[in-house]
Amino acid sequence: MKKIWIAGAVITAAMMTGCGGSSNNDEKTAIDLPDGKTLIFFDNASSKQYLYNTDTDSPEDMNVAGENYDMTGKNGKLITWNQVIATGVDQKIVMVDESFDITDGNLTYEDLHYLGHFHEENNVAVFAAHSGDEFDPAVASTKKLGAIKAFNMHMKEQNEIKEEITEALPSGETLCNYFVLGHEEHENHEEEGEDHNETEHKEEEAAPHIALTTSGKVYIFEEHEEGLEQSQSAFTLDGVTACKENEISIIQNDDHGVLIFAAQSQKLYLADSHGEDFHIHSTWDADRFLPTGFTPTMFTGIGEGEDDHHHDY
Amino acid sequence: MIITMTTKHYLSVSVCLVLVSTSLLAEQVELGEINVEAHSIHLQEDQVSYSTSYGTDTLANHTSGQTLGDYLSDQLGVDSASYGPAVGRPTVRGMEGYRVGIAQGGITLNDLSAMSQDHAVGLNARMAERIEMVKGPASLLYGSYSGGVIRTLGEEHEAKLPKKGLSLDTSVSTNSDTGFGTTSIKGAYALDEFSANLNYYRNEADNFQSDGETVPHTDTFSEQFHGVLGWKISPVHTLKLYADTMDKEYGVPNRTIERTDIVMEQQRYGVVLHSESIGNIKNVITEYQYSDYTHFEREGGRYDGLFDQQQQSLSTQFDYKLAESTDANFRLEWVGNELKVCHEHGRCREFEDAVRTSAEDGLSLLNYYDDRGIAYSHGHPMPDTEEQKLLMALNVKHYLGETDELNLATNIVARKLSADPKNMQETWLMHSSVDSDYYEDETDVAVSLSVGWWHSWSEAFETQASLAYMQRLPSSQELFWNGFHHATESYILGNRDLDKETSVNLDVDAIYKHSDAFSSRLSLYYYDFENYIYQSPLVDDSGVAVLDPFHLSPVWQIQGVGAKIYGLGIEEKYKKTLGLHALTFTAQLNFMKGELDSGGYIPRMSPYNATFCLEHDHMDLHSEITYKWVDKSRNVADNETSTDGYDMLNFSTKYHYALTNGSLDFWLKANNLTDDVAKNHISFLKETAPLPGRSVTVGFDYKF
Repeated sequence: MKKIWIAGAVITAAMMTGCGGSSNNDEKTAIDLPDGKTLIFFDNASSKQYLYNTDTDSPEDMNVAGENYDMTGKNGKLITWNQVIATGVDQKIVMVDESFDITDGNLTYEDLHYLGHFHEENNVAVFAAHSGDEFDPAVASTKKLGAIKAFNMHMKEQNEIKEEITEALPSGETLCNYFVLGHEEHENHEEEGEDHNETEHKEEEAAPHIALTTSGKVYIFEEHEEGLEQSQSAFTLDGVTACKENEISIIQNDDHGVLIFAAQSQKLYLADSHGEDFHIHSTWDADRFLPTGFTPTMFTGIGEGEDDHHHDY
Repeated sequence: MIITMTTKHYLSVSVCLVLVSTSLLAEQVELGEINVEAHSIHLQEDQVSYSTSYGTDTLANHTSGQTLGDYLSDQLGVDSASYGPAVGRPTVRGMEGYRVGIAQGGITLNDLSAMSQDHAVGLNARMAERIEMVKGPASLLYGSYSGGVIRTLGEEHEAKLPKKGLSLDTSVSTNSDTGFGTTSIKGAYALDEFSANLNYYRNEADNFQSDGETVPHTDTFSEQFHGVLGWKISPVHTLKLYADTMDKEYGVPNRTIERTDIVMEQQRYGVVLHSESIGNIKNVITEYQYSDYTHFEREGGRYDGLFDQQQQSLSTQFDYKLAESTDANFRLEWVGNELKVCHEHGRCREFEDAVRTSAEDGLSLLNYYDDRGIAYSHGHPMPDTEEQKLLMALNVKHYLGETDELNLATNIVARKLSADPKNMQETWLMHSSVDSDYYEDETDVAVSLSVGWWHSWSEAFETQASLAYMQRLPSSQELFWNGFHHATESYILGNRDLDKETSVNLDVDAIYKHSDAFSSRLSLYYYDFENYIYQSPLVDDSGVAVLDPFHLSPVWQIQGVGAKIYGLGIEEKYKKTLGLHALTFTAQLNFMKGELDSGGYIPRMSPYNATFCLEHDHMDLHSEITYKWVDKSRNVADNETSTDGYDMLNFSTKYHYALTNGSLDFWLKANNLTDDVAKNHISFLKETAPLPGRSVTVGFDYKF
């Protein structure tokens, strides 16, 4: 009988020590998109438009009647404009009409659906937008007209970069889309008239130019005295065979990389460099975090770069 | 790691339990007999043998850790390739990884511990009933492993049912440094024809300390259930059904800023039919096993890696008397296994088939090959693979009187290896212009032979020698892996064109009994590899380590080269009885070296070491003090980090409390008493994961 008692006590002890279980499941969300981002996805075919906050992991329908950013029944193109202002970089999202030629660099209020930005309300970032009509010279304030002017200057600069990249591409390749990492910071320094030491100058020269060609390849260039030079092996995006300008979007993720969205694959790619070469660090299927049936054609987004994003692998 | 119970709580539970148990048993105290042999693992039988078997209770008495490597590391020529406290794969005579087999019964353990140093062995040593080290010709029955085979044997591998009635073997302990502890319960109930066994094991430990500092990510958790149902069908046939489930979760103390950890799961189901005899064949063991092994690798909570291997095995083995003085052991096994690997940041909670488009296969990989001469990949590191293996083994023993035994053994493995790259991102597929037949099926055969001679020169002197020609088929990982490995922070470059690993192995063991109390044991080994497959740092023409372009991590290439590993082990044992006091002194010396034919040394070879152990038995009290000296690493490979020498002083004591129908043992172990900083040279994590500092473990064992 005593044996049974002892056995019972032992089993009880074992079960007690067994409490707690495996407790190392300090897991992140299944999506695990970069923190601190607000992404806007737009489907030019259906005009559906969703805003996705990567901190709350929740999509929000932006086509709300009465809002300036309601795109119901409209077509457009999303452009991220990191406007350099005296205090730094002011991130803006510009929705222009589909017919607007971005190489023209002469945007009028009639080409503009909305110009959006975030402002804080009770410590929460709230998206707000000005409608294109607000930029009508007949009614617009000087500040708003200045914004249009600054945007057009930005577009002109982008076109110059585009031409430079086009020239640097290997023969047979046609530029589809591109992004220059750190370009705004460079502009900001210049506007502030800061002196550049040699190191800073080299960093600015080395600002990676990430170029997507129509064949779906990603080329990385760096600026040298002789012009842009390819800095690493080209790579492709999983599931992408071709690039169309309005169906692949690139935005900055942080100082080290960009987010790329491809309509063809319906995937969001994080291409970054935390060693030497840029590569696709992470890939997310859009249907894992966007509403079912929503197939965006383009995206943009703003938010702080993840300074604490670890690049140890 | 979130810990939900405190050490204090654990200790209090254990102490209360001990007190309750003691009071219940007090009236049944009897004086026990002096039982030296039951305690000591240094007191092997005074003979040389191809097979040495230990009860896990005995090994558990001595071990300072919970891994299979920890359990066996007291054995001559055995070390533990630790990767933090949760991982410890045994190395035997300098052989590591795929060169040492681990089997459950006869079936190769379904885990991936040989694949990479961060992968834990897929079993908890404490759960086995016995652990057997098999070498020489006898080991060819279970595979072609230069380092021999370590067999863990459970109740299902016993031909008989457990003793009739209820029996229980339980052990509970807690550790002063890591908190929590270990619980092991082995229960059995048997009737004349039926039996049921249920074993439970749980081990939980928080980060340990070394040099007064907590070593991050050295926490570990493991839980395992093992159940066996037995049915004695007839006087000569017994059937055992078994099921096993194991969960393991442990931190990887590597250099990454974010926590790296591994979550492992394994299930095994099987049936074993033991037949004492069928016609002229004896001791027939037929076993079928299905097992599913999975582990996740996480970094910062993201699921960056996923490995899954499903394995089925059907085997039979038996003994046959060929002639009056000639016995044969035969074994036949079919093994099928499917391995899947996912390695992509945050996307490895489950396996997915990659997207296929009209894009050119392997374009990104080709660009790297053209630009850098290495086909770098940042996709999944290897395709899904499937192996079908047929193993046939024969060991013939011929006795020449009572003084000689000759062994001749062969092992033949035929394998069909198929690769299916459906998981691979198309841009990282192997481009046809780099390797046109990379994913093609491959069929290969490996043949190993071994001859052994045991001779008794006199009653005092025995020798045993074996000479083997070994062939090992490269693993699918050695052939296909091409990519980053998070846990080891390295880029592994496999070699699709690897040839079989071949070696000629000479082992000589001798024992000389100077007297009944004094004996000397000697082990010599010399392994000459024509094609030693190992991972070595890739260097450029200037001798500078090559770093991968994505993470700037060292590139380790898998290559086959000419190499030699040789060594010497000596054990001296002296016993002395003084009245009721029995003393046993054991000294072990181990020297080994691994050299590449091209010059230089093989990495991660165990440094020279010596162990001195004094055991004392008085009545029912057994105590021992062990001092281990480990030399600094002298024979380091190119680009390998060297390690300082260290001293390890351990003490343990155990009081055996005999009961009418059982026993109760109270024990204490104090490890690394001098709190020395000990870096295990054979570990990949020698810098970041030192061995644990000073700690005390207390526990009790109860059996009836």
